[in-house]
Amino acid sequence: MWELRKKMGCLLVVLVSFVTFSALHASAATEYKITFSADYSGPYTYLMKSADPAQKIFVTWWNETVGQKAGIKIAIKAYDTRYNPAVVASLWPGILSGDKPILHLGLGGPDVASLMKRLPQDKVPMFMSTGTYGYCWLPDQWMFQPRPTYAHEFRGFLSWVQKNWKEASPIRIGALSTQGIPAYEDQIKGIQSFCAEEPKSFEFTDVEWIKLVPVSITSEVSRLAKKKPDYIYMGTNSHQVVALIRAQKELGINIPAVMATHTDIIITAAASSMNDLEGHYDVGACNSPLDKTIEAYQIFEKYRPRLDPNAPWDLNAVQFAGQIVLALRAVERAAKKIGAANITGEAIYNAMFEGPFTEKELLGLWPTLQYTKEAPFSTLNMKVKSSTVKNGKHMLTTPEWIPIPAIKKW
Amino acid sequence: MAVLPCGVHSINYSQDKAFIRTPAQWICFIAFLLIVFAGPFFLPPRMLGIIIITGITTVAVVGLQITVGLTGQINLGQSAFMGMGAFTTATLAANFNLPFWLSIPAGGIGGALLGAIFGIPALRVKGFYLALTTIAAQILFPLLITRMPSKWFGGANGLGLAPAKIGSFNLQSDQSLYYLIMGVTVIMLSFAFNLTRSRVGRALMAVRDNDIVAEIMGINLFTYKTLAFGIGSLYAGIAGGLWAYYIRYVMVDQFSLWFSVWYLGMIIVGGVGSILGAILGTAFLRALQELITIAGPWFGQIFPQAGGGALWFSGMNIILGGVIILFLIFEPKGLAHRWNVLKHSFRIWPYPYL
Repeated sequence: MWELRKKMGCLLVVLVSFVTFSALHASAATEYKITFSADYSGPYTYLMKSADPAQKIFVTWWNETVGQKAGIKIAIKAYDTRYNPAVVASLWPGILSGDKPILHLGLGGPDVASLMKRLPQDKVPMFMSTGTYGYCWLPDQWMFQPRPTYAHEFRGFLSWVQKNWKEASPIRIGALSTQGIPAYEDQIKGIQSFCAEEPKSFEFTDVEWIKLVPVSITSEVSRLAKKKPDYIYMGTNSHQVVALIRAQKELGINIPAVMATHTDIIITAAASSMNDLEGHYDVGACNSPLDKTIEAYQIFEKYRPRLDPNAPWDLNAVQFAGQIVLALRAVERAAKKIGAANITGEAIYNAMFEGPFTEKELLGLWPTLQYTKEAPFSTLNMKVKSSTVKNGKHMLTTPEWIPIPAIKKW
Repeated sequence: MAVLPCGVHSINYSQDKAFIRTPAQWICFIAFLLIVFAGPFFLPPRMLGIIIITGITTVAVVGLQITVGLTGQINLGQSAFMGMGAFTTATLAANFNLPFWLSIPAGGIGGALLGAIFGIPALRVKGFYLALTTIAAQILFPLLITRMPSKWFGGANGLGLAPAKIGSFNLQSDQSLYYLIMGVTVIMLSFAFNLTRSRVGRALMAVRDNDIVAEIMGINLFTYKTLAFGIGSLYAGIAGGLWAYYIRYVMVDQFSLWFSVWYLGMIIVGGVGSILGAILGTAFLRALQELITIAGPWFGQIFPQAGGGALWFSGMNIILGGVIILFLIFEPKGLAHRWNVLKHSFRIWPYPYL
């Protein structure tokens, strides 16, 4: 009996020591907060079903692997900004003082407009996941875009077209967009700019300005088709893409449309059908969810059953995963430089300029990114991926990344 | 008619028209100003941010109250007029290095001019038709800004501006901007309160009550209707100027129709026709918006099994709409009326009525 008690006692001591050691070890990790501009009640609510699980999975993975070794724990906190600049502006002082974030994850235009000017004074870098607009192409920014401008992305797609272009005439480009929305107008300006730069390669036929949420754009598409564009660029919203597909059917024509990532083939197919998108393309400077060979997808699949079995792996998930992975890699770099206990927003900002973030480090979600103070996006080594529908099947246009040639600022 | 404590009576006209009549009222007023002044010393930054945005919104909503509540001219373009003010301020500050104390009033004038132009049809059209005319302002505004030479208003790229300065001191921190914005808000509110008691204010109310009778009484409808839009939009323009200095980057999509609709909602909740109503309505809806912003993630964390954050966040939005509807059903005269009832009951307590 005494022996048993002794054994039990020893076991208890070992267990208590183990638990205490584990607790001490756990508490040794320095916890940092990353805040996120979410939109749960505004126009982009639908993105959150991809954003939430992607962030949760990659933060958990990082905390349990890299973070544990480095003695860092990252907590992510979302704020509903309703995609409204006034809400962002009123929330930010509280976020800054309450959470003391080492970096902020932005969602879109309202974050850029409300925080762009104050981030340098607050010394908190902001990481985005979307394409950049020309008006953000400014030096010395405290925001970091993993993707170049939408015009860059489309230029990248055209590089692929050029490879297979057998005609002597330049590639004719038409566009459909909406006036009065700076972001949309900027895409067109960028395209017009690079077309004017390379008149032998490209000819910008025209742009038809349509309503933001159109009922029918048959007459506009008919007018545009008369100018015989080889490709039509559409970087606006799914309503317009669906309207374009319908108009082409009505007119009996089939001019390939090239969509941006926020109206990619999967999103548009949900509102239309995969067969309707035959021969159309989407393009973005991020990997495609169709590429399931990347490390990020393996991690996602490993953690999905435990954290969120219903988490979708779509283009939005890829982008939100990419956003947080880039941010976490920057945290890692800052920790290596100044120590896990001393990470600040400024240290992360400085870490962004210390050499490239390789495609491998970014788990294949982005191509290699290398930031300079000249632009908020990586101006070196820019690449895109594109997908299309062939014989009713959604597939990568080409499995490799397509390089984007440098284009001039407009 | 405000009920005053026993023994307080006016012996001349200036006493009769004074806003503050008793020592207790003076004490309360001075204490209020002191609290406002001391705000940045004791308020948490989150609260400071909320007050700053509420201050800017209040100026715009009080302007809308002058056009809609005081004069009866429906206006769904207040956000565009605010945008015009913001862009005017920004261009004058960025391109002409005008100091903030000149560029903000100039922004007000910019807003007023645009508002007055869109107010001209008010002579001929009323109600829904006038609402459509002002929506046209809202739709034309982004086109106007983006089509102008980009040197003027930055075109689609928008305009960034340097912080407001007093001498070599930059008004860049939330604390310093709080003083700028609250200072301007107090000035604009005192103008608005006094407007209602002036000759112009009475003429505006006469137009609201019956414009045909007002015209027979000698009130020039064209002048006063245009003036109502001009003054209301002047407020919007000033609010836009403050916004420009707070955010320091203006773009057309910051001034959408959605905001104009919210501003209208604020005066309905606060009480149409009352300046106090505009203030209360703005504070109430802003507070409610902030509350749901806080409550959404809180519920999401406590009840993650109920759909996680997304469900709670969107549920909060339904609550926001529901509260406004309940308010309209049970207190259609707005918060200002409820406040007056409360004040009256307090003064005659313990008697139910005089």
